[in-house]
Amino acid sequence: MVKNFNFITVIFIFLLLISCGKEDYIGPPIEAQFGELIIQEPFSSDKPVGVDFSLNDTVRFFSEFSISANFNINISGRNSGANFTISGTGKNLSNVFWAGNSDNIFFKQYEWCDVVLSFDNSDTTLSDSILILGERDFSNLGYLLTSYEDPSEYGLVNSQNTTQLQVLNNSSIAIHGNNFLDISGEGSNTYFGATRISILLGGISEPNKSNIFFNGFFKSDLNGSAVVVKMFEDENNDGSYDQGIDEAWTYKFTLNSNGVWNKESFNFDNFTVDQTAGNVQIDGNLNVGNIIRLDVVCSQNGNSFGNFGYFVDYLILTYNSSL
Amino acid sequence: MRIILTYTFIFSILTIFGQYPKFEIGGLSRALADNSFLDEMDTVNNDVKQDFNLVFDLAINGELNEFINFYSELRLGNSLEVFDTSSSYINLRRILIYGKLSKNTSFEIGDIDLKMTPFTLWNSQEEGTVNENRLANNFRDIQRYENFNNGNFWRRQGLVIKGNKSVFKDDTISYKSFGTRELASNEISTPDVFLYGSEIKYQSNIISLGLNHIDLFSNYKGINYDTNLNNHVFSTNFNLNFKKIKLHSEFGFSSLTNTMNNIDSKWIKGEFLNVGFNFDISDNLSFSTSFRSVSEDFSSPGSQSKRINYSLVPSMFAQTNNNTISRDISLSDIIYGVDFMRSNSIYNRTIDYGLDNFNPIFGVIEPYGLATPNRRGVSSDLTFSDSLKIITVNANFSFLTDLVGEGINTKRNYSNYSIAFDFSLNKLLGFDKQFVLNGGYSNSSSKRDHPIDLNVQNVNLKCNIIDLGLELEILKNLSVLGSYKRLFSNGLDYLSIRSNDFTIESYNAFQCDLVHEISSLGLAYDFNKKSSVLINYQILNFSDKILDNSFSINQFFVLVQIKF
Repeated sequence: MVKNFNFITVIFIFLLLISCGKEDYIGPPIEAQFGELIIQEPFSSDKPVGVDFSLNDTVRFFSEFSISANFNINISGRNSGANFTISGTGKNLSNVFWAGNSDNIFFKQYEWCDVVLSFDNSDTTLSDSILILGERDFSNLGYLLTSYEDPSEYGLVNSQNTTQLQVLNNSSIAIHGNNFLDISGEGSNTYFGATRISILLGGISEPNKSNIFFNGFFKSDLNGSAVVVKMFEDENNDGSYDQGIDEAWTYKFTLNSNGVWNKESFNFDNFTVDQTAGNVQIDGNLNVGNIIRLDVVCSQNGNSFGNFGYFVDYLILTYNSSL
Repeated sequence: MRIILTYTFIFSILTIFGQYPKFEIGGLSRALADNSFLDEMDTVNNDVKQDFNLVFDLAINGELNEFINFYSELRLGNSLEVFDTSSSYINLRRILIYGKLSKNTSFEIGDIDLKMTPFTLWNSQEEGTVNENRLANNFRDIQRYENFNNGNFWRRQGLVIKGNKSVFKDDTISYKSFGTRELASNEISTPDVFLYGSEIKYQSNIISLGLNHIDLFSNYKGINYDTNLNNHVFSTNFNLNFKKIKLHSEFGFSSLTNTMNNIDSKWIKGEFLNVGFNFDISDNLSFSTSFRSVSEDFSSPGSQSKRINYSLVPSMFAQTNNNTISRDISLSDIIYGVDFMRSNSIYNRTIDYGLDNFNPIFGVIEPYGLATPNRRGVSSDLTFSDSLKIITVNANFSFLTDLVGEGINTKRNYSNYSIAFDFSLNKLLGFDKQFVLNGGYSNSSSKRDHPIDLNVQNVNLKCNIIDLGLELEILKNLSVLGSYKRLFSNGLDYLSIRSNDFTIESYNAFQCDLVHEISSLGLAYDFNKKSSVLINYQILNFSDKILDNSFSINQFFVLVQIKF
């Protein structure tokens, strides 16, 4: 009997030895959801007198909490209405900074921004404000088509149905700079004019079309308004688009008619071969290096009679991700 | 009608042409009348009553020929509430074809009962029991029977093939394989779900060694469904029998994925180990203890699926206090929520992918039985009975911890103590009529202290259950029965919420301070050992300080049972 007990004891000791415990824990930290949040260092930034994003400057935020918390920093422009949200988890904001980017429309120069720090599962909010001395330059994210500031960047094309085609100057309305295009038309047609942008052969440095995004800002309060983006290749390298020889590409999207600026982005993979109005399919391959022209057309969603149009500003191709 | 015609046809054919058919008939009959009503403060809820629902289950076991046998349970039901046949019904409760494929191999097809080990396929008992007396047991037995809970078996629909063969003189090798369909595809978005299992076991007088495998898997081919699930559990068990000591052990692992068609999908692996022994110290005293360690990722749907579906609402008075406060499933629903006519029982009949909901008021030490993930520790059991069987005592204790902390490095400590006794006073006092006292008490807790600078309240959840019962035979075969059951639970715990890939994604702060009581008084008359009538009145008291809710339910039952 004693022998049996010894045997059992040895087995137990062996099992206890081999079943060693783990040090780390599983799941999210318990304090992030249920801990009592106490602000140990008030919310502040390192740019109390303003930040100039045009010089690639950034804003760093500071605060410390009693627990590892899920926090959100919401930045909103008082004039532009632009927003940007930073979310994270931690006991402080040591690695949190803002480079002037926005979730939708752009922040503007000399604009005061309200910055609000809030937490999940807590009513605690902390506020600060930041003055923007210079806007961030987004053109280095890809290929800036036009921001309607420089007339040499673009051309305007009208049609018999165009009722408005004019670059307006109003910095309080423009998304970027001072200028934006007001384009509209009337009728049951689907072409009410366009912005035409010439692109130097090889000007788009990203060769893979799947990595390229078209981005633009549009504002419309006319129901059914749409945008057609047309892109033209110069496959025979003669310096112009030739119907029947070169290939055109098209993508159409409907605009939100909520009367405020909306950012529209889509990937180049969405382009399909344009086989309307004399355009034909050649090889069915979109070669980014052959693109010489891009038209942003004012159109409508269907073919009913009415007024259609929009304001447009800051057209840019970005690489690897949308703006 | 079709069922009756089918039966008549089978009987007729076999009686006329078959030389073999041998039939045995058995069954039971139950009639239940009950009336439940809330206290006078509730003026919105109507009384809930059944006016004598009568069921008659006819079991037929037939040997059709040398190889094929047939078993079925046919239910005939009626409500005496209406004096015609409009509420009558006939259901087929069970149908099973079984027999032999060869000398050493047999099969079962139809409604089969399946069980493997507590870590592979095991129907764990429902919560809330310590030592109930005859009043509650009557209803528990009915609930288990009505919901096909036969011991720790799962009732499934499928096929099982099993056999055994001797190798030497006093040993056998046995094997079993089964397959069941757990969920039928809707051909659009829901795939077929199957359960497959097999075990092989060598057993002699001294040693036994078994290998087990079970897999819950879906077949998404042919439907618009881009994920697939597989949940394997492999285990081996090894037992040794000495004269008075029996050693037992089982260890294994689970392997889970729900994105089979994704090349990058990861398999989530969990492990477990369970080892212990039973020691018969004397004829009257036995002791058993075991150590187990179950990893946080151990996933075993066959053994972790719960018997009660706590995501449902109680069938009776789901909202109280004039329909202003909802209540969860509690003791009284589990024991006394008997309804022969009801189709949506709170008893779960499915083996689920993922961990089922549970009600923490019953304790959180092992909501999924021995297979509860992320537990490690020791459980022991001591049973004593005197030679005259005047008193029988059973004590059980468990000390477990988290295997790995949840949301914090510190692990929870779990403990459970319980003691149960049956005291036959008639034997002590020399009475010739039954006079039995029984009772039980269990205390379950989970604790975890947090550092002060964490600013999170400590875990401290306690659950206590008391069972007291009395059975006094006042006249021949006529007994007075009394029972009192009390559950009081209070404290706070943070219950993990797991995603489909079994990882903890958040927590639910569970807090309670409540008391549930059942005070019951009844009269039972036994016509014979298999037939009885029970009249029972009870008051259920619920009090919840957190919700500031208290109410009472009064219940009256008349239960007639006849078995043959």
